[in-house]
Amino acid sequence: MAETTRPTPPTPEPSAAGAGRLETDRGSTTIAEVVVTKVAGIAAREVGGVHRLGSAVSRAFGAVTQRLQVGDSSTQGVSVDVTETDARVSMSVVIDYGESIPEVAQAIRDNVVRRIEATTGLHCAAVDIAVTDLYFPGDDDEAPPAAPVG
Amino acid sequence: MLLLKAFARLVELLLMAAIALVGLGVGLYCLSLRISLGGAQPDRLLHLPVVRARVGRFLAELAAPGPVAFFALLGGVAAILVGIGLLCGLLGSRRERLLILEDGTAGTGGLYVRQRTIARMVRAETVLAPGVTGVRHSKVRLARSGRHGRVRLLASRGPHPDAATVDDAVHERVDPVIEPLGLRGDVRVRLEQPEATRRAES
Amino acid sequence: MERPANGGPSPRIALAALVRDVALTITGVAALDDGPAGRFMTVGGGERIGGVRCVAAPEGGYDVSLRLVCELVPLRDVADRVRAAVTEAARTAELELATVTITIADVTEEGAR
Repeated sequence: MAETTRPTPPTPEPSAAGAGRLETDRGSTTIAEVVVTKVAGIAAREVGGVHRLGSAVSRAFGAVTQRLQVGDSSTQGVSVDVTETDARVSMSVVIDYGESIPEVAQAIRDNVVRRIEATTGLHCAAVDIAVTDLYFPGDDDEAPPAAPVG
Repeated sequence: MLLLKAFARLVELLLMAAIALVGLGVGLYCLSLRISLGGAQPDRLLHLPVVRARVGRFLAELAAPGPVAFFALLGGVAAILVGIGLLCGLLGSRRERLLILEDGTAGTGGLYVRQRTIARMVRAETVLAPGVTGVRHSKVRLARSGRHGRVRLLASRGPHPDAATVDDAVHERVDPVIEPLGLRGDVRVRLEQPEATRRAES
Repeated sequence: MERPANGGPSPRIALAALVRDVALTITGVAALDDGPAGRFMTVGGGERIGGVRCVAAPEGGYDVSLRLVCELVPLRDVADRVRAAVTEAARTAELELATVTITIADVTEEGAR
């Protein structure tokens, strides 16, 4: 599992135990890749005009794995490529009929970059978006759609 | 292409099952030679000696001219066609046709739209145009580079005093959708044929 | 470190329990995570403390590792606060910490918005 790790800078503090002895806080913080994936997914779903993530095939597959309690729908349709400092996101989305594709895509990018940087501290350079389908009101749906956040 | 793929899968499954059964039969037969399975005698069960005899006769008939040979030829040709169909189905392009709106070189990432999604969008717009009764034929053809392409659509309209109005209405709805995607539109509206003529034709 | 004569929990177990309790009080921490195989925990003295591992460090003290499930808040900030709180609590309990390694294993949408 790829992770991002950054050693925390030591903060020297004088110890009460003995004069002259420095106690330092040491240790690293690692953020699991699945966290970045989830944050990206959450950020994308929040955008108005996004009905859901994932393509038809991955959704059907996801429904089955969910029933078998193997998979996790919150990471469906999103994949990330993470390094020490950067993250690159790829996702498949289903957009509401009537929305402008370039505009929704830009909104997705803005929100994903913002959320990832705020939550994980990673610089999100690029978000690849594939629009795999349109959602028409009345379409048959398995999973509940994302609630748009104004 | 979709039909061929489905066909390929079906044949694949049947072939697997057939091969498995044949293998089982052969295995049992070989076993019976080594180990007497007592009363079971699988080779008798599968009538293998009888099969052998019959097949021998059949092959002899094949060699000779006559009706059997003709059907054998038909069967052979059918098998070849099945084989070709299988190959096409299996090797057929699996990659989806994607329209590339942004290729990612700008640094912010790529933006792609599935060809089928565009087709759906255009159909929906067309059907909503006043005067349009249906979509007869729709095709979205993307260039190999994926950067541009053509949308060809044939819509039906009911009888209307002013055909141009419907035409305009369709364009009004469809153009704003396909232009930002960099696609060229070829949208035509034809008068829907009345029921009588249609029935006569079919 | 001396093992209490009455057979109570070893300092390692006590430390692990303390770390877990402190971590859960930090805003932004939803839970601790047992790891992919469900084996990231400290076991001993009849207790299983999930999400925490305490290993005696060669130079003395303990290397503590935590796996956290957090809410959707700045994560490194949460980790820093956990590390500070855990270190402070350990000091108060007169237990020595060598390193505090934190892994944010998952996030949850419930909670803070």
